[in-house]
Parts: sequence; structure tokens; C-alpha cells
Amino acid sequence: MSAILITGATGFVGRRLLARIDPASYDKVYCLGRHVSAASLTVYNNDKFEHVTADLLDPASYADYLSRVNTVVHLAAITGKCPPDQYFRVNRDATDLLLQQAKKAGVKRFLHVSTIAVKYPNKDLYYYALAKEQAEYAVKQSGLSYTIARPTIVLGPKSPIWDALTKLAKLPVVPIFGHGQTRIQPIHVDDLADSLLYILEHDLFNGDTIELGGPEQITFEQFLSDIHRLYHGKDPRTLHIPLRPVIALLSLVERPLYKAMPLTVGQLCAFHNDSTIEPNAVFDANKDRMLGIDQMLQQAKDQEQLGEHARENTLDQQCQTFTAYLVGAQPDGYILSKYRQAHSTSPQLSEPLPCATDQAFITIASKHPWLTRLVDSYTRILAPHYIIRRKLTVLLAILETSPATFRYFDLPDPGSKAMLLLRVIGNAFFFTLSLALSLVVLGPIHLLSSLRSSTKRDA
Amino acid sequence: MAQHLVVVGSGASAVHFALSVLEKGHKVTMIDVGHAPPQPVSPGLTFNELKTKLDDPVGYFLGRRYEGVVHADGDGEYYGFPPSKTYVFTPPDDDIDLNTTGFEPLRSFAQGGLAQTWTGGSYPLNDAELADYPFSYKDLQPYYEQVARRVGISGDDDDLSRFFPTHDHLLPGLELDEHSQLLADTYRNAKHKLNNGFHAYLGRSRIATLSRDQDNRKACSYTGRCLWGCPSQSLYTPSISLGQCNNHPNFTYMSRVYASHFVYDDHKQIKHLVARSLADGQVIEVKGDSFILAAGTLCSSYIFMASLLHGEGRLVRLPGLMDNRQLLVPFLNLAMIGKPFQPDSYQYHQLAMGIETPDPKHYVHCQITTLKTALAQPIITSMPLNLRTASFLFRNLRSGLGILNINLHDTRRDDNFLTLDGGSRSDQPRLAINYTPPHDEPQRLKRTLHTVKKCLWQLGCVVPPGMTYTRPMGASVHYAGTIPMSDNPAPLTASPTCRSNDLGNLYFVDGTTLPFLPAKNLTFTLMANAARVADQAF
Repeated sequence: MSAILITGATGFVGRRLLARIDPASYDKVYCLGRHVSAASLTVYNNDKFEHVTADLLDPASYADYLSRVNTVVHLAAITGKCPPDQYFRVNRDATDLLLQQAKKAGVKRFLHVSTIAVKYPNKDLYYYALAKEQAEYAVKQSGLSYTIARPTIVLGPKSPIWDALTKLAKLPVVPIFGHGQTRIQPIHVDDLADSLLYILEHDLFNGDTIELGGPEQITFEQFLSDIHRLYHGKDPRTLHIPLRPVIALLSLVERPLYKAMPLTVGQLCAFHNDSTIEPNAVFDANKDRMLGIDQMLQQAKDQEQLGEHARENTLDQQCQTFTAYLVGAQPDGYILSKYRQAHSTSPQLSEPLPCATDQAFITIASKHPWLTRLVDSYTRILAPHYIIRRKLTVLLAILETSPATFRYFDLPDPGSKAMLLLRVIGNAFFFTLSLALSLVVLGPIHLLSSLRSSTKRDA
Repeated sequence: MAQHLVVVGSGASAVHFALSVLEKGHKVTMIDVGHAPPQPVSPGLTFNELKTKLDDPVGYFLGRRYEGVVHADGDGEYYGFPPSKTYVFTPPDDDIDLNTTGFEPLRSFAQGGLAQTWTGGSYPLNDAELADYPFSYKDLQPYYEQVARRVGISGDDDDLSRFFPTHDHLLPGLELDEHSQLLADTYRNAKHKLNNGFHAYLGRSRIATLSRDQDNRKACSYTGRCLWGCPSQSLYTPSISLGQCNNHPNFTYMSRVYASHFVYDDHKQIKHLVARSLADGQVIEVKGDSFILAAGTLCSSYIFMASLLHGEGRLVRLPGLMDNRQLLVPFLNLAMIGKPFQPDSYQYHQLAMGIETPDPKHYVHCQITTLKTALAQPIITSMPLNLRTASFLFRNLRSGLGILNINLHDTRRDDNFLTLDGGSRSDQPRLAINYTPPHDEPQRLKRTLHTVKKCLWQLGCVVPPGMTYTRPMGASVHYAGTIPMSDNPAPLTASPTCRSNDLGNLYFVDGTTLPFLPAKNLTFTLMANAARVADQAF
């Protein structure tokens, strides 16, 4: 057993990584962040996770914690729009300070999360990549046992790059900078988190640089076209814009106007550099269970529409209503956190995405325990493959293994056998009633929805 | 003269072979992928205490990816597989491809092999069941006793002794839980009807679990955690014997090594084993005097066939693959309804039922598990009711629920075979597995199920309609028969001491050489046979 410290733990990748870390594998997981918000606290579903408010440019704020751990995962970085010197302060200087402190504290393993852009041949105007390249150099010189992970484009809920690309792709005429044939290999944030976990669990700290991408490659033009099609249902008209003059022009105005620009000059560099990976053992071991591009795009769109925060609220509401239905009680914080965690880590709940009827049933079932009963009765008999059933099944398993609710499944109801027989009759009556009612209420919705989707298919 | 023996695999057969030859002064190098078991979590806690005292009980029982949850559209099993045991079935990187027809194979690359997840059923074969073997029960008996001494087998001399010969070193039976005790008591009253009407006999299972302290292992402490991984090593697993081997000065354990094939000379003598290090991908050669395949029927057969393909370009087909068909029959004991369920008790089968058949080789073996600390969720979600109603029924019926696992015998048939085929990879051929059940199987299953339901009724139990589950071939993990042992030295067979008739210094000590597969769980016989080969061939 050992302890681990993660910088950027409540960030885009960090939250997904924390959801996957098995608390039993560590004595303590220290999660570094500049501040702690109520939302970010929800990732800490176990006492072993401890939030540490710290500034990476102020070593005194975290040095003490480094002496308690033997592994550091360095995720913190500035990736979005900011003045160039900020990239170097946070991504290079802070990394340098962290490495110095880690060495002083006797840290054994250092997992540095970098970017695929480091391998672009020309990154003169891509300050983020330059800073990351210099940070990688510092890691290599540190004397620590390290691995450098270089993710490609990372998609998923709150993906920084997703906003920028969808803005472009949603336009009636999609601008393609350069020839558009540059190849990319996007990876879902959950798959990236799995790959990082794989490195930790297999102790792969041999000074390697490991490139991490998704299972499929695609050209930039095709990728933007796919996004356009997802939102507009048809192929886009594209306009090819020569890249070099645009970069030259934007680089002149980037410093004063970076906040207003849809893409940084650096991000435009991705249009003329392939962002694909060299195969490696970590990729080979994880590629079969990674999400493909179509699945990533669909999920990103769905979650964009729903909003991640709204999604969590929705999950909490589901958990509360379903728990009230299943065991007649309200879920405690532990049950809520496990229900949320299941939705981010269980493949059974993430795919396939629910169809329209299934989604409607989920919404209806979340409204009231009695409606949950109707949906449960109906889908048990007529739609056993719906996601709503998987949600209820997972929650049932959580409830029977949680300290607050497990006894509900253990103890028989008090009373004589005659009383039990009466209860059985009562339950059978309620089940028959709810099934009959569900056929009347939900049957037409199911039927209409099936007809509509078959009409769509025919069209 | 002491030999250097290279053993491939670390399962039940491998470790008992190794222990026996080490005792005789030979040197052993064991080659194994060897995924290691996790440390038991909080060994002192009972099943329910795990739920109240662990930091993250849901994570423990369901796993980080909730892989322990069984969905209604899943495989129809009644037990969610404990996340703590997933290491047993995790394949290594760059594993071979399989091409299967009619068979759902399970293979293990764990330290201790598949028996790391067994339920301990340890039944000696009788003379009728050994009729196709080149030896009798009397020849195998000393090795059953030797293995029984090593692993610790508890049971009783009772009505089932007519099917399982009684051997030495049998420990007293474990304490019966209330439900099993009730079934045993009911049987005493209904014995005449069951014996004469259905030729059915009930008695104690023979199980590899200690009912009293032995060597450095503690007797079962009834924490109710059997299914989740015995925390005290009372339930025997081969990793315990592997630990004993590791303490021996003549034993070398090479883990994270994936065996590929043998290289042999013109006289059909193996020169070395070719293997791949999983640590760095390097190809290594392991030399020895004799080579012992104990990687399980599927992997051992693959290595053997790959060796012939590499050595002479010979593509062979190994007929006779066998496996026990299993039926899971959930039942409800009406007399237990409304009673509290008893989690602090032994969890696996404590009772077994044997059904006599006109041909004693076709004996039907049933193990009775009075379901207690498995997860409730798979059973609740399998009921044709909404979850609220199903949960209500479950908690009131829980103490009376049980599962009867029927095992049927299998015979070697030509149309069930293993071979190699191309697949998509150029570096290693694919293992092709073909299995077709015997044509009369549906009638056999129907007949057996009919008898079992009637027997359960005599024991005060009912079988809920529509919940009987016929497990797919491959699910029992009792694979055998592809290179049968016999007195006839034909190619692609083995001698009575399990020596290959094709490669002079090659031996098979797993299920590969069994010429007939009775309904009884075969692990105990595999261990005894491995000890026999070790004694008679070296």
C-alpha cells in the first residue's frame, strides 16, 4: 500500500481518473487543486481521498504532502486561451518546481501528462506546446522514475477543445484551415483515464514517452463534417482557407485579443500537423474497450445539451426517486455518490445510449416512486433491454451492499405465515395493478415511439 | 537419478505433481503467466461486517466498474462474479485467438489456475467410472489419500459412499447451516421413497475445506465469505500448494512467462520450451530433462499442437473434447419461509445428491447450495416481477432458497475436437474448439430434470417455473479427453503414465489424458492422477 498525489485532480481528466482509482489500492490519495468547489467535492467518494488546496507555483503549499507519497500524477496544466507567458509559468515553471520538491521528498514515481503537440515539428507560435515540451525536458532531467503520457485530442464532458471545434463545425459553411487531410486520433476522457490508471497499476515507470489516442484515426475535414452532420443532419459545405496567412495574421493580434478569438494560433497548428500516435503497449491493452469517434461525438452532443451539472442533478434525482421506490427510504451521500460513479465507470450504463422511448421512460420514472413502479413493471415484461432497467439493477446492487440499506434485503417481514401469505397476495395484486396501469399509460408511448422510429428508418 | 522437470502451468494438477516430484528429490522449474491473487480484505470480518465496516463496501462487492452487477439481459447465471476473483480469468497481453463453435471456454492464467475459484467438490471416481482408464480405483486410491492429506477434505461416510469410495484422511463434516440441516433431516424421513422411487441418495458433499486446523491453515471460521474469497485459507486453493513449492530449494517459479511451443530433435525428444517473457517481450528458451504440460486441457493441447506444427509442419486434430453439462435448478424450501437467513455459515454446497443409473458410468451428480451470501441482485432481477415485488419476495424467501447444480457425464466423441487454424495473425495460429452435444442430450436433460424436481418435492422444496438454467458447454470448466491415456501406444494419445506417444519426454498431468468424464467434479482426480504420474514416471 502507498499514497499518491494528483495535481489537477478536480479538472477535466482528474475527475475521471479519481472515479476509477480503487481506494483499496492506496493508503491515501491527495488531490491538489487551487480551490475546492462543492461540485468538485463530489468526486471524493471515499475517506481516503483528501483535497489539498495548493498553488503549484507556491511549493510551500504542497511540499509537506509530497513527503507522504511515493507516486505523483501531474495533470494540472493550462490548456485553453491565455497570454503566452502564462503557459510557461504554469505548464513549465510549476512543473519544474513540483519536480524539485518531489525529488527532495523522495517521490519514487512521476507520471507526467503532456500533449501530443510536443511532437509537432514546428511549434514556434504554439506556446502551450512549447511550454509542455520544456516541461517534458525537465521531467527527463529530474532523476525520478517517470513516464510521460502524451494524449491526443481529448473529448468528453466539458472537453476544452470540443467547444472550439463545434463552434466551427456548426457554421453553415465550415472553414477548413489548410488542406484538411491532417489526421487526428481523438480519445475519450474516460479512456484516457483508464490508460493512465493502467500505467499506474502496471508500474510502467521506465522513462518512456507513451502516446495515447483513441481506437480510430480520421482526417480533420472528415471530423468537422461528422460534427456538422450530427447537428444539422446533412453534409456541410466547406471552405478551405490557406493556413499560413491566417496564422501569421492571428499571431499579430493574439496577445491583446486572445480572449475574443475562437481558436488560439497554437490550436490552429493542429490543422497542419498529424495528431496520431505511435502504437504502444498501453494503447494495445486498452484499445478494444475504447469509444469510437461516432460514439464520442454523440455522447459529447448529448452531454452538451444536458449539461454536466444538470446531468449530476438528474442522476441525484433518479437515485432519490428510485431508492424511495426500491427500499422506501432516502439515499444517503454514499449511495448518491456510488450511483453517480456507476454512471461514469460502468460500461453497462454508458452504452448503448438510450433510445427516445427509453429516455422518456427514464424521465417519467424519475418523477415519482409510483411512476418508477409503473415503468419498472412495464419494462420488466416488455422492454427488458432498456437502459432504465440497468439503472434500476445497478442501484439495487448498490443498495444491497451499502451499510444503510443492506438489511432491507436480509430480514423477512415480521408476523406469522398467514400474515406473510396476506402480504404476498397484496404484493401480487399491486404488481398486477401496476402492470395493467403501465400498459394503459406507457404502452401507447412505446407504440407511438416505435412507429415513429420505423417511419424514420423507412424514410 | 534426479531430473530437471519443466512444468507448464500452476493449477491444481501442476502443483501436486510438483510437490510429489520435489519430495522425490527432482528439480522443478514451473513456467506460468501467474496473475497473483489480491490480499484478502479485512480477514477477521464476517460477510455482513464487510458491508458495515469497509470504507467502500460497494466497491468491494461490485467492483470499480460495477462488473459484479448481473444484468437481466446477461448470461443467465445466478451469481455475480466477485470482483476480487477477476484476476483468475484475466488473459495476458497478446493471448492467442480462439475460434469456438458450440463451446464457451474459460481459461485461467492465474497463480493456482481455475481452481482458485472452485467450490471445493472433491469426489473420488469409482471402478465403474474408471473402466476406460488404464488403472483401477485401487491403483489410484493411495494418491487420492495423499492429496486428501495435503489439501484437507471434509465429508462423511454416508449414503453417498455407494458412489464415492471412502478413503483415508477424510476430515469430519463442517457444521451444517440450518437449511442444509433441514434438508438432511427431511431426507432421513423420505429416504425410502427417494432411494426406491427415484434411485436418489443424499449425503454430505466432500469438500476441500478444513473442519479442523491442519498444518498452518485454520479450520473454517464460518464468516460466510466463501464466494468472495476465503480469507483464512480454510478452503483449499492451489496457490496454497504453490506457496509450499516456493519454499522448496529445488523449485524455481518463473512467472510472467507465456509458454508457446516445444522444440524437439529428430528422435522426438524435446530440447527446450519456447516462451515469451511478458515483462519485456523477449523470447526465452527453457531447457530440462522432461517437460510436463499442466496448463489445462485447452492450453496444454494448444502448446502440443503448436509444437507439432512448428516442428514438422503437422497440423493435427485432437478429438474427444469433453465437458460436464450443468443445469442450475433454483428451488424454494417451503419449511424455511419467513425464517431469518443465516449469513455466518459455510456458503458452498454442503450436501450432494447422487442419482443412480442403470449404467453406473452414467451416474448423475448434484450439488446442493443453500444460497446465502451471494448477491441478492441477480436473483431479484431474474424474477418475472417488478423489482419492488421481487425484493419483497426475496427477503421473505431468502432463507429457503437454494440452487441444485446438476452435472452430467460426457464421453469422447470424434466430432468434438481441438485443432489450429489460421485466423488473422501470422505469428501464432488460432485455437479452434468445436463441440456438439450428444444427440440424445435433450431427452437426458428432460428426464434428469423431471427426476430432480420430484426428489426436491419429496424434500419439501418446489422449483419456481421458468427459472431452470442450462449452462452452455464450457461453463463447468471440466475440460478433458483430447490426448487420452491407454495401453495402446497410438499417435496423439498418452501412455498409462501420461507420457506422450509422440514426443518422448513430454507428459500431460491435467485433464488432457482422461479417457472418460464422469459427472463428478474432476479436480480431485486430476490432483491424484498428477501425484500418480509423479510417483510412477519419475
